[in-house]
Parts: sequence; C-alpha cells; structure tokens
Amino acid sequence: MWTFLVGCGVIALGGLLALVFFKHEKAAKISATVLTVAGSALVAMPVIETALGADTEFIRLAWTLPLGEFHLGLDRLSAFFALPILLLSPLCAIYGIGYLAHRKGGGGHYFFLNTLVVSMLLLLCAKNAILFLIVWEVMAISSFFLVVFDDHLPSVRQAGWTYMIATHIGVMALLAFFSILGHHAGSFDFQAMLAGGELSSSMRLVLFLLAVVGFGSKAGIFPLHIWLPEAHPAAPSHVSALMSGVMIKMGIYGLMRSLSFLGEFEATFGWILLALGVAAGVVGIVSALSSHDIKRMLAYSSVENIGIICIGLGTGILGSAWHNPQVTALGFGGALLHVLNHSMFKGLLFLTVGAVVHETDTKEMHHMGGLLKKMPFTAVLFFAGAMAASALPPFNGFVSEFLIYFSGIKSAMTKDVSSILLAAVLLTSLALIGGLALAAFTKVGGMVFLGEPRTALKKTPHDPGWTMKFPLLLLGIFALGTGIASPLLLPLVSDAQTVLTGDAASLMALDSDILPSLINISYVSGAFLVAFVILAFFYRILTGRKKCEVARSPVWDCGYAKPAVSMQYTPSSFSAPLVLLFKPLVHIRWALQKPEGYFPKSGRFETKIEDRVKEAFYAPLFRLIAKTLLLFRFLQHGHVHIYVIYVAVTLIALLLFTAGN
Amino acid sequence: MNANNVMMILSALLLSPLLFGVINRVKAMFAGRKGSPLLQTYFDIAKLMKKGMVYGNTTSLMFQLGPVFVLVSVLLALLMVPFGPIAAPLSFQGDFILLAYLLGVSRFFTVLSALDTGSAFEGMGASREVQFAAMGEPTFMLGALLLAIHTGEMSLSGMVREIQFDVLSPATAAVVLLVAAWMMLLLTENSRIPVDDPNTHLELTMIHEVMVLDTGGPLMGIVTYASGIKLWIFSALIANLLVPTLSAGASAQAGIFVGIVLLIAVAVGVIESIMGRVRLRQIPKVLVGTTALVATALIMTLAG
Repeated sequence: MWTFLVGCGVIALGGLLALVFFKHEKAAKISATVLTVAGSALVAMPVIETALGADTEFIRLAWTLPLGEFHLGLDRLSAFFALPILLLSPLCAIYGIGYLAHRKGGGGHYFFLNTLVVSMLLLLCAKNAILFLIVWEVMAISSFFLVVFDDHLPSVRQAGWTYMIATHIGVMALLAFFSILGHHAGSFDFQAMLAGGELSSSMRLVLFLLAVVGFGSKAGIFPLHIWLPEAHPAAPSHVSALMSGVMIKMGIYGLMRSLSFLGEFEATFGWILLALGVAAGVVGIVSALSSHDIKRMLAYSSVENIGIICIGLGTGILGSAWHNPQVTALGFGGALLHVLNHSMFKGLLFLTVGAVVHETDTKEMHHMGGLLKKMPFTAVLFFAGAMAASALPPFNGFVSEFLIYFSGIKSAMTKDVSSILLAAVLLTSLALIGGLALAAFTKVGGMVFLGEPRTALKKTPHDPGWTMKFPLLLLGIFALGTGIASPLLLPLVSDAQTVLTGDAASLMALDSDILPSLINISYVSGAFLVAFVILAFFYRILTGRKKCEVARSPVWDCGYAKPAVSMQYTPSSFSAPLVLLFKPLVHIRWALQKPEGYFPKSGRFETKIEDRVKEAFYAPLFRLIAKTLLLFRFLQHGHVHIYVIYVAVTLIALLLFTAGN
Repeated sequence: MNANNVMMILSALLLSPLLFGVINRVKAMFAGRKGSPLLQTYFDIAKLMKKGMVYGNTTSLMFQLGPVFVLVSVLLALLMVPFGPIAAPLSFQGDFILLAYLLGVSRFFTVLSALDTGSAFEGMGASREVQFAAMGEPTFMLGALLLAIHTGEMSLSGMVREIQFDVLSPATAAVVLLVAAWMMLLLTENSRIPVDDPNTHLELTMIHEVMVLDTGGPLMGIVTYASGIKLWIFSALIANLLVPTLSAGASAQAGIFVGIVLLIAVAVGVIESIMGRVRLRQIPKVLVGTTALVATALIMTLAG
C-alpha cells in the first residue's frame, strides 16, 4: 500500500515538474511523462498483487479533515479498476508529446493530466466519504482544464461549461447520498457504512436513485450523457481517450461501490438499471451512427458501451434479488470485464482518430476518405479497434459481451417468467446494439480510411511519429491479446465481483460452464488468425502465378469511365436508412435549397444532428431554472453597504440559532 | 472430433455450392426452362480460380484481403453447426453467440471491401446490408433463446439433441413458428427474394451482388464459395429443427440430414419463383415482424 502512495506521489511530482518547466515545453512534457510511466509502474505492483488475490491493505494517516479522515484501502474492486488507469495513463502521456508537439501550454496541460491520474487512483482507494468527495472534485476540475485546452475557441469553452455543470449536478446528488448514508451509519467511513445496519426499503430506493444520478452523470448513463458528445470532440484526443477510457468508468466504480453499501438488492434496482442500459445502448449507437463528427461519434459509442455495462449490472442485481448467484456473478463479471475491454479499445480508437484529426485538420467525416493508403499503420489499428467496438471476435469486446449474453441465457434456464423476460430483453437489445454498432463502425472505417479523399487537404497526411505510434500499437496488441487470452482474464473479474455482493464465492466457483466456453472461444479466435494467414498465403500464390495476369482499371460506374471522387457514397447517405428507422431517437435538422429553373445556379443541402434528450429535456429545464432565479435578481444590486447588512443579518441569525440549541 | 464429424464437415464443404444449383434448377422448372446444370456453381468457381485479377484503381489491400477474412469466418462458423443427431465438431455452452458474431465478422469485411472501391453503387449495397442485418440479428438470438428454454441446453448441438416433437403441444407450435422466422432470416442473410434478387441486372436495386460488383477472378471465386457455405449454415440450422431424432445408423442419419438441407434449397427456389421482391423500404418492417414472430413463439413456450 505504501508503494501505491509513493507511486501516486511520483506521478504528482511529474505534474509539478511540468509546471516548473512551463517555459521549456519539451522538458515539461518529457519530465511529466517519464514520471507518469515510473509512477504507474510503482503503483502497478501492489495493484496487480491485489487483483490476483493478495489481501486488502489499509492505511490511516493522522490527517484530520473536518468530518473526514485520510483512510485508504486497496481491495479487489479498486485494484481491478486501477488496471486500465495504469495502462492508459502512461500511453496517453507519451502520445501527448507528439500530439501537442507544435502547441504552447504543454506545462499546464501536463500538470492537470498528472493530477487527473493521481486523483483517479486515490479515488479508487478512498475509504472515507469526505476524502472520496474531495478527490472526486479534484478529478472533475483537472479534467475540466484538460478539456478546455483550446480555450481560444468559443465552442470549446461552451463544451467545458456543459461538462462542468453536468458533473456538478452529479456532485449534488452525491452529497445527498453520502450525507444520508453517513447519518445512518454514524460515520463517513466506508467500513462503517458497510456494516451500518439495515436500511428501510424506501430509503434504499432513494439512495440507489441518488447514486445513479450522482455517479451516472460522470459515467454518462442515459439520460445524463449529454456532456460526453460535447466534451470529447472539444478535448485533445489523448484527453478524450483517457476520459472515455477510464475517467467515466470512475462513475461505474462509484456506482458499484455504493451498491455494496445498500445491503440486499431489490429487483426494482435491477430493472431500472437494465432499462437505462437498454435505452443508453440503443440511443447511444443510433446517435453514433448519425454523427458526422468523428470524435462525437466515438463519444456516443461510449454512451452505448456504458449502456452495455449497465445491462450487465442490472442483470447482476436481478440475479441477486432472485437468489441466483450464477447469474449475479456472470452479470457483474461481464460488466467489469467490459469496463476493462472498453478502456482498451476506446482508448485505441480515440488515439487513432486523434492521429487522423492531427493530419487532416478536420473532424468532419464528409471531408475525409482514402486515408488507408496514406496512413496504413493508423488504419490497421483503427480497424482493430472498430472490430473490438463492434464486439467481433477475435477481439476483446466480444468476450465481455459474451459473458453478459451468457448471464441472460443462464437466467432463462430457471424457466421463471420474469427471468425469461430479462433474457428476452437482454438478448434482443444486445443483438440489435451489436448490429447497429457494426453499421456505425463500418461507416467510420469505410468513409475515413477507404475509397478516395472527398476534399483536397492542405498537406499530404502520413502516419504519425513513434511517440504516437507506440501507444496505438500497444493498445492494439492488448485489444487482440485479451480477446484471445480471455480465459486468463477471467480470474481477475471472477474475484472482483465478490466485493459487490459481499459473498465470498467467485464467478468461476459458481459457474463451471463459463471457463470451458471461454477456452473454446479462445481456440476459435486463435484459429481465426492462423486460418487467415494460411488462406491469405494461398491467395497470394494463386494470384502470383505467371498465368494469372493482374491489372488495374476504373471501378464500374455504369460504363462511366471517369468516376469523380464526389460520386462516392457519403457518410450520411450510408447511415440515412437506418437512422430514419429510429427517427424518434435523434433529431435531424434538414436545410434544403433545391436547385430550381432550367439553368440552376446553386443548391444547398445540410443536415444537423441534435441530441433529443438535450433539446426536449435539458434545454426547457434550464430555461425554467434561469427564469425562476431571475425573480431573485433584486437581491443582487451592487450596493456594497447593503451586502454588509446581509452578512450581519446572517451572522446574527446563526448566533441566535446556536444560542437556541 | 470423430469420423462422423469429419464426414459431415467434408460434405458441407463439398455440397454447399450445390445448393445454388438446386435453387436455380427449381426456378428454371417453374419458368418452364431447362436451366443450367446442377453443378454450374462448381464450374463457375473452377473457372474463376483460373482467371487473372483486375483491381479497381481506388482499391487498397482491404479489397483483396476482405474476401479472405469472409471465407475464414464462415468456415469457422460452420464448425459450430450440428448435423441433426450428429453433434457439431465444436460445441460449447453459448456457441450460438460466437456463431452469430462470426457471421458478423464476415459482414464487416464484405462491407469494408465494398466501400474500398469508392463506388456509389457499392456504398449503396453496403448501406443496405448493414441495415437489414442489424434488424435481423434479434431474430436469431431470440430463436436460440427459445430453443435453450425449450430444451434446457445452452449449446446448439445440445439443443438439437434434446428437441422433441410432441404432436399438438404449444412447444411444437413454437418450433414451427421458429422455422418460419428463421426461413425469413435465411432469405435475408443470403440475399434471396423477397429481400434481394441475386439475378437482377440493375445495380441500383441490388444488395449483395452490388457489393461484389468490382470483384472478379479468384477473389470472386472465394466470395461465391463463402456465400455457398453461409447458405449451407442457415439451411443446416433450419434442417436441425426439422430432422426427426432417428434410431437409424450414422450414415442413414447423415443422409436424411443432407436430404433435408437440399429440400430447404428447393423451398428457397419455390419461394423465389412464386414471390416478388418486397420494396426496400418495407424490408425493415418485415424483419421486425419476423422478430415479433419469434417473440410470440417464446410466449407459447411459456404456456407449454
């Protein structure tokens, strides 16, 4: 545990060094990155030990906070969530060196980057609610400054505000959550909360809803997701990768941790999470499919994946409420594994897309095309990430979804009506989400990397330098490796999920079927690669024969010999039929000016995709709040002497109140 | 894996192109024509393999490797399909999920190789393919769930082994509904009428054929063979629901199974001859209807 703290200290020191060297961009970035790598390596030692089964360690420091205490502990669940942080943070720091090579302000940026990493690590270990809330706030603020890196752009400032407001709405709910729970337990210590007596059923529901709102606003649980598609396109790509890959998972961690305080689960909780998950999954992926902005698309895909994680959690809770420990372990295990897998492939996708945006200076898919020929390295890794995100074998996204599918079918085996309903909802929604994800990712891959460039670019794009290539390569290997070697990952989630239920039984002990299935999947995944190599080799021989003439010619366009690049299918026409099927979920603004007359001069067509939830729910809500608050405007008039009277009156009132008690 | 498995896999590998021959012969008979030879697809593949290659100017390596990925994924998917009473070579709990996603891999690469040409026609076909496949996906999963509940088994081979036909029971009716729904899925996934017309000559209306418009030579041979395997997989899945559990010897069982698979090809030919295409915009409705059909079947299982 001390190693853990020292490691965090090293990363924090890196952040401070970056501030010290702020005048020497390169020195600032490199010192911060080197210390992030070193610190992560130090932290990784106790984390891996704990994740593999070492006992939980605690530290209490003699540091008194008002109402709180510096109490840290590293258990299985914390260690599991720390793994993606330790993988992604150093890689994002390394990537940032190349990505921000010609930019100013690297010193401050790296200070906040390292602060974010340290705050996330401490958050996972905080065993006291006050300490937890403090690091939660540090995490929120440091990530805010990372998002507004390009603060000279109004759109970026706007996105920063949206994020700031969304995250603080969450904090509001968290304050209420911990106050109620702390009051009940008589202490803000997590262990007291765990042991703190039976809660009434209605109180449990209130606490559960507060936790969903509080942590959900960070995780981007539907309908609290609206900051994601704003903040991710605004932030630099390695920041998007870190936020989408690991920071939003801190919301999932918080939700899981708070579930463990609630005692026995009720079926209602499970149905609520399942419904939110299905809604997030479908709305998220349909919105992703309709987005033209490549980073916005990835942000919505994160909403979808958080939805899948919620489906797993909901199934786990239902299993527990129905006293079906197998389903519980599979649901929670699947959700956890998806947390880990999503951090790898979404990190990979944001970093590859970052390289594309860096080279093309645009995020608009309609302007891209044919980048595979210019950036083969980036393209191959993007397609790897896209396959993982569409849950296709042999990549890791498939394995975690398999666990969640498995939990649904296992529950149906009881032949109980409600469990069959659960299975039917789970299978239908996951299958639909999977199909739509395939559509969304073939769209991005096809439109960005294949075909021909749709507009002329200022410079010829090429693969980035090694500081940016290395993180891509490593994440790609991880996404494939954890897909093939999934049976080796099972022990990690197998034990981590026990923290939620408080039972000691691990997933593998409860369900003896899952390991053989994963082993078979891993054989097929391996065979996939081997068979591909063999067949590709045969194909090479077949077309390499002397008798086989290889020629090039224009593609078929009904005999038209000179196809122009503008004749290619566009991203929005590719997705239009599917998006129109789900029209109620996204709002498409059309602006059409038809070319008219015999010699038409000009025509215009524009579509803009708006978030339905934002438009129909948040915009009116915030207008209402603003209108109500205007009523109190008369209190604030700028006369300082009257403000002094306010202060005096407040003080006297407080004095009387205290005296009265 | 035992001798029976090996024999059945070999027969699938050898006989799958025959399915196209059967379908075309049935269609020809309906139209009063003599029709092409039953083995025409074999001749086509053999000829294509000997030809040279022409790549589109815009294409990259994706165009060349895509069909190879498609072939690999359908071949691996084939390993999980049971042959009536003879279990599949690879069978484990939840294998149908892997089967569905392997077919997803084949679709992923078909679509990407199409988009690699940059042709508007191929983009259009790719767009339709992902649309209809996404809408069809729940039909397969719900159907497998129904079988799992009906039989208490979680692997395809287990399900097929335990399937039982009590005449006039709700569960039997449910399986009949499932056969109808999966037949529709077969027609969608394999681009047959009423969803797609493999014989159409107008690029604007095609789905699968337009995605391989610029594919030729050995590459086209691979694509044709892979779509034969895919058709075999879907036909075999349906045949598994129909094959009665016999106490006959292994070779008799195998013969009956292959016979039923070929009969399904005949059924596809009949459907193609007597039906027209559904308008493209109506297809999603048909597919949602198919999913509803399986959901109804699921409710009927509960009653039984």
